[in-house]
Parts: sequence; structure tokens; C-alpha cells
Amino acid sequence: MELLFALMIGTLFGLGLYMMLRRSIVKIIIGISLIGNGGNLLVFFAGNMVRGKPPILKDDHITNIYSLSDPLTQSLILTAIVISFGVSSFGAVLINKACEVLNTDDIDKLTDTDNSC
Amino acid sequence: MRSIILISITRLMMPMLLMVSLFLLLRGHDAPGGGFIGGLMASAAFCLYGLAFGFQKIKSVLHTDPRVILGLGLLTSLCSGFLGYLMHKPFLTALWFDEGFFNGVINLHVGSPLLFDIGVYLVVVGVVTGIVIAHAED
Amino acid sequence: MLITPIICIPLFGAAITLLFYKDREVQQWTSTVVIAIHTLYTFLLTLNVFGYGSLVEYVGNWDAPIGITLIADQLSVLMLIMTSVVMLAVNIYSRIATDAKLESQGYHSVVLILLAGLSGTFVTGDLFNLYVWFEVILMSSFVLLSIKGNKEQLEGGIKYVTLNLFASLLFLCAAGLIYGLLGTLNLADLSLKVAENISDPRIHTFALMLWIAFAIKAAIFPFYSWLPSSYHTPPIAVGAIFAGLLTKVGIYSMIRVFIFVFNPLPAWIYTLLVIISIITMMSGVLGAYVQSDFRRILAFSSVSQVGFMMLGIALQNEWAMAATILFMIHHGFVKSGLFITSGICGKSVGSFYMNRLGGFLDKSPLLGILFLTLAFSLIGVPFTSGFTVKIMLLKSCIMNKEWVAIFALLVVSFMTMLYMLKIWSEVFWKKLPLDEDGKVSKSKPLETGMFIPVVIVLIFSLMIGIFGNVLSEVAIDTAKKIYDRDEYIQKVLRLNLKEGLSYTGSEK
Repeated sequence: MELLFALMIGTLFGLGLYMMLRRSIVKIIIGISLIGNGGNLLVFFAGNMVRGKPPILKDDHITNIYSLSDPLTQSLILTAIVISFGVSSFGAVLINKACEVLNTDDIDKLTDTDNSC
Repeated sequence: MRSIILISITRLMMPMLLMVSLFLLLRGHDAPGGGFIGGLMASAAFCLYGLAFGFQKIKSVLHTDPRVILGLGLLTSLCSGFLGYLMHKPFLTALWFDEGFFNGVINLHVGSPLLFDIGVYLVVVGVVTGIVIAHAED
Repeated sequence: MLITPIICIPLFGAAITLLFYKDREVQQWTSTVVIAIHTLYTFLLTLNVFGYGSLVEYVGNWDAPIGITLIADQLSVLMLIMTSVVMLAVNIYSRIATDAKLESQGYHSVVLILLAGLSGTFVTGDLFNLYVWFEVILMSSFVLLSIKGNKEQLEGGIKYVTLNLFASLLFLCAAGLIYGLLGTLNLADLSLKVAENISDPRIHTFALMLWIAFAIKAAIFPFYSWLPSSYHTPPIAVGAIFAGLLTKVGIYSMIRVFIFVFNPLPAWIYTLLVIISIITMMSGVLGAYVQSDFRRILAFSSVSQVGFMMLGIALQNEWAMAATILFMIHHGFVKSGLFITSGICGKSVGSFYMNRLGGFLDKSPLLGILFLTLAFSLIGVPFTSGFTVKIMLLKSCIMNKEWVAIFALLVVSFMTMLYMLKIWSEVFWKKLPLDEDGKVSKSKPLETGMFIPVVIVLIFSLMIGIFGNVLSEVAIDTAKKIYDRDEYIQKVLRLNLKEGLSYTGSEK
């Protein structure tokens, strides 16, 4: 299970980086969201992974808290997912606007802000 | 490009989706659900409406601008935080009706986290519909 | 005294401005009043912290290592003062300068949310909460950057978004891995646990991951390319906020996390950081010298000044840390003042290029004096804030026997003078150039109200220069408390370290 997760995270990061290094703006945003998913999985993986034991203590008989899944990492990724949702929706709007105004999808042509005069 | 099928389905689905979103909102805290998911569900309903009837009509369904909903949500969430101050506890302390001050008066597990969730719900609806309307304006 | 209002006041203001999204007057007044209250509250908080020691608040009544802890210590309140004063100045400027279109797009709401994000960053005591505030700042700055939606802004926006998103992803991964290894995210608890396994190479890796994330935010040498290509594109009011405050967030987090928690790392890391900061200083200053756009010179100058701050962090002694803290505050005031000055000039002529500007000394000698004082401050002429901080930095370099750094510091200061002189001679001394048809180009009269924000930041900056003696002692005291973590940890975790517990202060 751990190996599977590690491979999965690595694949997501690799794919995301590959996409980010492409010249198209759309692919950059896709790459960022792929890496974002990889990051979320990484955080999830950082807590102890237990199946089917939500950390809600209704009765206090549980002695070993490590037999429960870690609630903190889950709340962390929940936050991270909400944030990445906001960021990618903003990214979509930005791309839409940018492609309309700049009339190009190629980041090599975005040189207007780098000219010194 | 109005599709009669989409319109009739939307008429059926809108109330159901909104109901489910409220269900998810109220179910939250100890069970899967909560303000964010509920809000997303509700905004999905509004997006569906926008697809069927045109995105500018969303404003008339909401009866106001998404920004107002966003502001109201922010205020609601802040209020739930300030309730903690009133009870001389830190900001955002969870206060329940069936504990402490109101114990025995109201036997309902409702408290300031629900208020916070309602705020989140409104913020999410405001943000998503706002983005969708802005996106569709072009 | 409560800490949360420092975050809630701006959020409350943002909610009000959203509710009255149609009414420009209400929005303007709300944001001015809210920022004024925020400033007042910050000063009260500062008095409290310097009088009775740092304040701690446990949000949601969850105790220290579990819940989110807010802590206002000396470093936080110093940063908060800078933030709220710069915000106040920019707000006064934007009342006069920004157009109705900008305000109808929610400029005031987003600025208030940005203020909440900045305040949150400076008072949080939790690594993940720091990430969340970073994202709040990031989202609102995205919106502010591309709010007008013209060609340059969108290009700058894409560059800014891509690099900064990558930085936050790195931050998130590092935070997750640190939690996986040490099982805590509270900074005080983390610094206790890191001190126990400081020789673990995994900890060094995570620390450097965090450093890279902060370095992208702070625009340090290999990662600074987003700054010069995005800071000159937004409206001047936004540019002043960005230049004054956003890079400081990166430096502040570096002090709070990289120095406060992960210390001491192996010596080669700090040597590397000294080299990187020297390269940052040099490349920023060289970049600034070749530019011919007023705002782009200031943007590149930000990069070189960030190099100075980084140098203070890398030198690893109390004087250097104190210099960095004061440098952040000094640079926040001076750079936002300079940006507003550039806005006053640019608005009058309608261009920011040096060959279109000119004649401002004849037009308004007062503006000339204000600019000159700010420029002197940036260079480091005695009796200005720049002198105080640079002399502290020099002293710490001499204490550490970093001769190359001293040389670089002096050369860069000299080069700073050169590019400020370039602005001075082109914009203020030169006559207003003729336009293409050979006629004298038109320029609008200056509005005196726009000088008020420059005067405000100038007064605060001069205060650092004149009361340099007192303030440097305050800064050194603050720096001592960063290296000697006991007080912070005791306050947050409510424990008495002297009795028992394996932790034995900072070993250096």
C-alpha cells in the first residue's frame, strides 16, 4: 500500500512537472493542479493510514489512538483541496482572459513585461 | 440553443439539488457533509439553472448579486466566532445549545459551528456563482 | 488583550464593502475607517506586548499543540505596525488616485482581505495556518494583479501565479512531511522536537524545502524573475502594497520558521545563503541600473534590497537578525513611498518611461524633496532609516568576518545611489521632453493630497533614522528572543522549561 502511494505521488509530480515545462498556458495550469493533487496525497500519506476507523470517539474505550486514522492530515488536505479549488477556478478565469487579450497560448510570446524600454 | 429537455430537467432537479445541499449542510460536523460541500452542491444547482436559462438569469434566482451573498456569508462566519467572546471564551470556540448555559432548556445538538458552516455555505455559493457569471459574461 | 480582532477587523470591513458593492462612497469610507481602526489596534497591541510581554490566544479553545495558536510577540507587532501604516498610506493615495472602474471591481474588498491575510501571517503560531494565510495573500494578490485585465497585467499575472503557486505547493508538501516525521505543526512544539533531532538529514531537507518556498515569495536570487515582470503592471496603489509588504512576508516567514524552528542547521547551508544573498543584491542592483521605466527600477531595487535582508538572516548573529528586522520595516516604508511618488509623476504625464518624464523639480519642489529624502533613505545616508539598518548590517558582517559581504554591501549601496541618481536626473532635473510633434508635452497639475501618504511613510522612515539608537536596541532584543526560544515556547505551551524536560535552550 505504501509503495503504491509513493509511486502514485511520484507519477503525479512527474506528470505535473512535465506539463508545467510545456509552452502552453493551459498545460501549465493543468500541471499545477496535477502537482497539487500529488501534494495533497503526500500530506494524506504523512498521517497513519487506517481503513474504516474514523477518529470520532463516542465511547472512551479506545486505548491505542494509533489504531484510528489521523484526523489532522485529513483536515489539512480538506483545507488544501478547498484552496486548490479556488486557485484553479481563478486560474481558469485568468487563462480565459489571457487567451482572449493576448491572442496566444504560447508562453514564449509573453515578453511584453520583460522589455527594458 | 435552449433545450426543452434541459429546461424541464432543471425545473425538476433544482429543488432537489438545493434540498440535498441543505441536507449536507445540516448533516455536517460529525458526519460527512458541511458548509463547503453543501455550498458546492447549491452552486452546482445554480450553474445548472444558468446552463438551461442563461447565466445572467442566475442573479434573478438569487434575488441579489453574488457579492452580497459572499459578504453575508463572511459576516455570518465572523459572528459565529464572536459568540465565543460573548461567553468569555476564545474566538471561534464551539458553543452548543445542549451544553453549558442552555443545558436542559433546548435538547438539540446545535451550536455555533452550524452558524459557521452556514457562513461557509453562503461564501461558497457567492464565490462560485460570482466566478461563473463573470466567466459567462464574455 | 485579544489578538483575533487584528484579523477580524479587516474581514469585517471586507464583508461590509461586499454588501455595498454598488456604492463607491461607502466602500471608500469603510476601507479608510477599517484600516484606521486596524492601525489603532495595532499600536495598542504593540504597547501591550512591549509593556507586558507577548500575548497568546488559543483559537476555538483548543490547547496549544493541537489547535491553532495565535501569538503576538515583538517581531509580529513590529511587522504589523509596518503593514498597517503602509496600508493606511496607500489607502489615502487610492482615495484620490484610483478610478471608479477599479473600485467597482471590488478593489477595496480585496485589499481588506489582503490586509487580513497579512495580519494573520504575522500573528500565527502554526505552520499549516501560516500556509493558509499565505494562500489568502496569494489569492487576493492574484486578483489585485489582474484586476484591470489589460495585456501587461495578464502576462505579469501568469508569471506571478505560476511561480507563486509552485512555492505554495512546495510549502504544503514540506508541512505535510514535517507533520509525518514529527507529528506536530505548532511552531513552539516543532522547535522543541526539531531541537531533539537537529542532526537528522531529513529535517535539513524539509528546512531547505521551506526555505525555497519562502525564497520564491521573497524573490531571492534564482527565483526572483516573477517580481520584475509583475510588480510594475498593476495600478500604483496595488504596486505600492506589493512592493512594500509582500516580499516581507517571505522574509518574515523565513525568520519565523527557518531560523526560529530549524536552527542550527549545518554551517555550509548558511555559507551558501550568504553567497546567494550577495548574488541577489548584485543582480537586483544591476537589473535596476539598466531599466528605463520608473516602476521597473523600483521593482529591481526591491530584489536587491531583499538580498540585504537575506544577508542578515544568513549571518546568524543577533546584530544581523536585528538589522534584518529593522530593514524589513525600513524598506516597507521607503519602497511604498517611492512607488507612490512614481505614481504621482506617472499620473501627471501619463507614462512611466524615463524619456517621457521630466521637469518635476520645477513643478513641485516639495515632491522633489520628498523623493530625495526617500532616495537617501534607500541609499543609506546618515539620519535616514537606511543608515541605521546598513550600519547594523555592516557591524554584524565585521563581527562574522565576512569581508566579501562587506565589500558587496558597500558596492551595492553605491550602485543604489547610481540608479536613484538616474531617476533624480531624468525625472526631476531634466526639462519635460518634447513629444513627437516637437511640442511641449502636456502634463496634468499635481494633486497636493497625493503627497500626504508619502509624508506619512517618510515620517515613519525618518523616525527609524533619528531614533535609530532606541530602535536598534528594540530590534536586538527582538532578535535575541528569536534565537533564544524559551520565552516563546513557555508562553505557547504553558510549561516551565527549567523544571525537567529534556530541552535545554538553544545550543549554538
